Amino acid sequence: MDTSALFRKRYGSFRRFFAMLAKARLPYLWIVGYLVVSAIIANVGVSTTEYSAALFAGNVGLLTVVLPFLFFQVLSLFIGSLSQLLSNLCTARIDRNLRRMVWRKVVHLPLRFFEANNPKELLSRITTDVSDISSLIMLVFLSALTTAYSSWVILERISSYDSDLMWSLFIVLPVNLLITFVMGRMRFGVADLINKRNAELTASVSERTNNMLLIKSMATEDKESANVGERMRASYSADVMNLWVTNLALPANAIATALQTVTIILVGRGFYSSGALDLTQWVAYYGFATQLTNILGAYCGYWSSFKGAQGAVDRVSQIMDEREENLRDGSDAGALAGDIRLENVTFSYGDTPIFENLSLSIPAGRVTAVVGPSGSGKSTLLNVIDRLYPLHDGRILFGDKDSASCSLSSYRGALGYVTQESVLYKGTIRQNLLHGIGRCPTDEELDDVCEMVGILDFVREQPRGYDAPVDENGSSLSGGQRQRFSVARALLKHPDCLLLDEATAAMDINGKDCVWRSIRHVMEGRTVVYVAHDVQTLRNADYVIVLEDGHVAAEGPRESVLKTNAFCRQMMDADEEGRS
Amino acid sequence: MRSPADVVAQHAAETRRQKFSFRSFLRFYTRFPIPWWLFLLSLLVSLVNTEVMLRTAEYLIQINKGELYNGVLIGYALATVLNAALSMLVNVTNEYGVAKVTFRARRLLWGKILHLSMREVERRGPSALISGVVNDIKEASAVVRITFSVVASLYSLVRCWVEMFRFNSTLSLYMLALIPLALVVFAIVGHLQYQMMRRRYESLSSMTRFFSEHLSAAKHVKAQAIEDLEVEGGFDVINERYRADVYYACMFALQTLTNSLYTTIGTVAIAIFGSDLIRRGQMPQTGINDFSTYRSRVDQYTAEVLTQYQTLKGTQGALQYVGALIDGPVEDPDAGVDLPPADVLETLRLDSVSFGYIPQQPVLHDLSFSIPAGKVTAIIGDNGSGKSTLLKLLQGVYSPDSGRIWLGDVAEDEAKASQLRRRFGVVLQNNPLFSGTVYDNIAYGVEGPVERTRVEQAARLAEAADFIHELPQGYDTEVGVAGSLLSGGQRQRVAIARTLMTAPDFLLLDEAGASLDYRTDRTIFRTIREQFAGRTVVVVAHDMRTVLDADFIVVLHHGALEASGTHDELVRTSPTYRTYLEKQGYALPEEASL
Repeated sequence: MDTSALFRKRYGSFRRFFAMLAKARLPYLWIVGYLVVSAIIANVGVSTTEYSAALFAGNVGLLTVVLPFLFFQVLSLFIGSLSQLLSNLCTARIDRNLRRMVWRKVVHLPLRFFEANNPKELLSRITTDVSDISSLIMLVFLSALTTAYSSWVILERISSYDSDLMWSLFIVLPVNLLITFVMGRMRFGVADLINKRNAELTASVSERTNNMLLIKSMATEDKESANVGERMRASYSADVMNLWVTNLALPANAIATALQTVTIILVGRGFYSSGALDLTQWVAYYGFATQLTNILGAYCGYWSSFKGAQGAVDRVSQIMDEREENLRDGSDAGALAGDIRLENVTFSYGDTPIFENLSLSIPAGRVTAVVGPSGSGKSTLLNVIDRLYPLHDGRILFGDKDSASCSLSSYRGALGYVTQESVLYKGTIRQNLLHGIGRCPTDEELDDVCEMVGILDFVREQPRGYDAPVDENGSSLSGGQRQRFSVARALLKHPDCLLLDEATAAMDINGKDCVWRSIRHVMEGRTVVYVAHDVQTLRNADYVIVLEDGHVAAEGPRESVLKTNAFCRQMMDADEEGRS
Repeated sequence: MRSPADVVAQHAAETRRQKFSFRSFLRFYTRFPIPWWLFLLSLLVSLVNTEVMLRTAEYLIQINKGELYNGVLIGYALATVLNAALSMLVNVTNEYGVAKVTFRARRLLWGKILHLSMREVERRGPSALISGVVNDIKEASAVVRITFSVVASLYSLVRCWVEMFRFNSTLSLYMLALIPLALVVFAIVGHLQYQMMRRRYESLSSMTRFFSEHLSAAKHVKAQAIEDLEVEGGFDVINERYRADVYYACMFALQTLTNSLYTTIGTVAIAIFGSDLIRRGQMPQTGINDFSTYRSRVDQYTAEVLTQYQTLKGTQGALQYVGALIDGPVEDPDAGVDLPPADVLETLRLDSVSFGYIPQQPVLHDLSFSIPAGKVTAIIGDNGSGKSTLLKLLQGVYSPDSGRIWLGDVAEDEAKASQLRRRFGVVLQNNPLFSGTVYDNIAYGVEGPVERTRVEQAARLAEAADFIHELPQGYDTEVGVAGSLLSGGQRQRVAIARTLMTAPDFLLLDEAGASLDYRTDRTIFRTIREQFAGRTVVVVAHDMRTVLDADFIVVLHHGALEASGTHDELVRTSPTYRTYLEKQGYALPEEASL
């Protein structure tokens, strides 16, 4: 195994981690406050232990022991709660600041990043990974300081009884730490296995429960009973393994603790019997030694179980290292007008090129359909026109204006793009219609647009009209309804140029007809480019571009392309049959 | 999309509030074999362990008194280890029992869920069902263990009280007076706990929802250039979460304060009254030490008993949910009469069929018509006119609210559901795949072993063979959860192959070609027509080309039958049909347009 590579990687991740913390604006003032309170607790704790030792030894003077004991008890009660409060507040602030930092970053990353990373994974960057990092800071880094200080205070107090006693104690401590560390690692490994098995079980149950219709219609109930039964058995064996590992640790731990206690006592016994310690000091010493091993043990516990945090740190800091998209640089797009011309555009998502030296021209103020077999680059064409991806080569012109000279945000803002997956968010119908259009139209205007896309009746039927709730991802609406709202939103935006990617695919025949009539009406005199998926939508075009394998197979006015191009003829042939 | 864990957590939070019911508890445990001997053994060992624990406490007292004889040290070490070993035995038997109960209960419950009717699945919602199998069942199984633990803890509590009382009755009586305080503190802490966990949970779920919704819409965000709006929206939910965290921090501090207030009051009482007793010579000099040791044990067991009670109360929701599922009605797919043999072609006949997913909202009204055997029938109509619902009824995964569907002379509701459903093959617009290999998915619906050549044949017919060969492991390539590693068109072709494998008598296609490109669509359906020549095919389509290929056409309008018949008949009788033809650019026959 190449250990040096491993070290380099570790080193790299540490460097990234601190770079990330520097960017994250940690709540330093709160952290300092927490540290101060922790220091006070360490000192109060020492006094509490000493007075309770005196009580235990039968020293019951009211003023000398009982009252100070009570005072320190109450004091530690309040300060303890205060420290707890501060610690949780620090965690909350760190969480918030890290989350804001990561989210701001993620939003500004290019689309490629989202394609390379599963959205579910990205979600856990912001939710769980961030919490892991703040726990790492609080429980491992800051805890290192507070633990070191408390240990020092306790050791100092022991050495005030007898400095040799303190040094003897030093021999015992490392053994204790080692044991806790090993135990923690073991438990962590098994916990990992359990989580994995449970996640597998949940995934397999949820996949099936969500597709119960398929199981019923295939009549495969028995098969699924066996399939998931296997997962349940796997989860069961992980549980059994876990119970052995966690519980075998009990006696092992107990033996370790007993040995340790005996050693602590043996160390102290010599001093006690020789009279170097009186009874009160003995009880205090014993209390201190136990406390010390507990504190250090707890710290080791955190340290060993926070192996997972390293992954979190790596993942989050990698995101922070990504390059953002530059949205603002460049001139304002202004009004985009004129033919859209692609000149020698070369583009690929990965290794296989989609376009090589593609040149085409889309007439201004007309409706242009893009057709072609799947994989021919229809959607990609819209994506590059909207500059969602950087071109490898070539340029895109609007009239005489090179699109690359415009700032991304103004350019994309001037274009309307209805993507294949119609996006609706949880909220109300109104919020969804107005999302991102940057102005507040009146209800009359909303009515007009909704009427145009044939959804006004639906809105009227809702008891709360435009304020009717929309579920997460618009799941309470049908595919056709979602597409109508998406088109309505794009029309409300008054774009200079509208791009539509199969935006009416889920609508019925009458719906498509109505929506397309409206698009042609509203976008009168402006450019519309769309990916056509069937004969009916293709009929709405003035101009047609046929893509095959990333090349233009034909372009021109609809009628002439339909006559000359083989793909289009094939697409329309049923039409001929119908006429005959 | 919410993650399953999120959904599961929400469900758990919802069920937690329900009331205690001893009946659901008992009923749950009469349902499957429980390894009682494991739990009894565990109880027995824990009773013994209480004595060992008391012995350990005595050694500890001696050590604290400075009685550091070798005998004490060795005794202490041995007692500690014995105590731990016995604890291990207690836990192992307990947890082993729980794991067994969970495993058995899970399998039973999953079997029940698989046989719920579709209506019941929809009523209960998939997320709650998932949570039932994953979480609730686990909580419910833990109840057996907790019941036994309560007995054990109560015993230890009493034993410690007795020892403490024996040591000093006066001081113990003072402690007794603290019990009401303990209960009050416990109630307050429990209440705070519930409040802060709920608020934390709610903020977490709204944050998770926001991010999962918005992270999957990255393309939309970029295309609309609304990054600033996104940042703002994200900051809002992050701040909401922060406020919930701050609330949590304050409540948590209050909780700790209340908790330690109780301990401190006890300690203070012992210090004041104990020192007084010592001064009056009614307690030995080191008596506070002895007494505190017992008292810390008493506190420990009190906390144990109370926590167990709380947990027991918390599992009620889970118990009830699981109990209702286990006792609830299920379908028996093998009950009913046999269908006529598969090789006889039968007409499907609808007789005044009405149906609604929700009783108040009927989707289909009083439908009566026949679907001719061995022909291709097309069903057309606007979105929401009930086309897809009709297919689900034909296949018997839903049953009509009124009216009947006849397969030849057999009423579908009287036939064996499993037989009936196997007669039908269904391809929808989007077909889910299950995680596993391409091969597994194609062979999914077939009972028993499958020959490889048949799978390859089906893949070829569905135009899937070429892309499967290009996959890294061919037929053994994993398709990912719900087939997410394949493209939409590839998923569709695998699903078509899967349906072809089952060789159904009736093929139902619900816009099956919509996610394929036009060429593939045509090729596949030519193949399907050849394969199914002489068998019954029902197609739902928006594309009039497909409709024109059909032998018989049914037009639905707002859930009612507008017309049915051949192309020539419908051109005359159905306005919807005419509009459809017109809109897709087909010329209408002369006499019809007059």
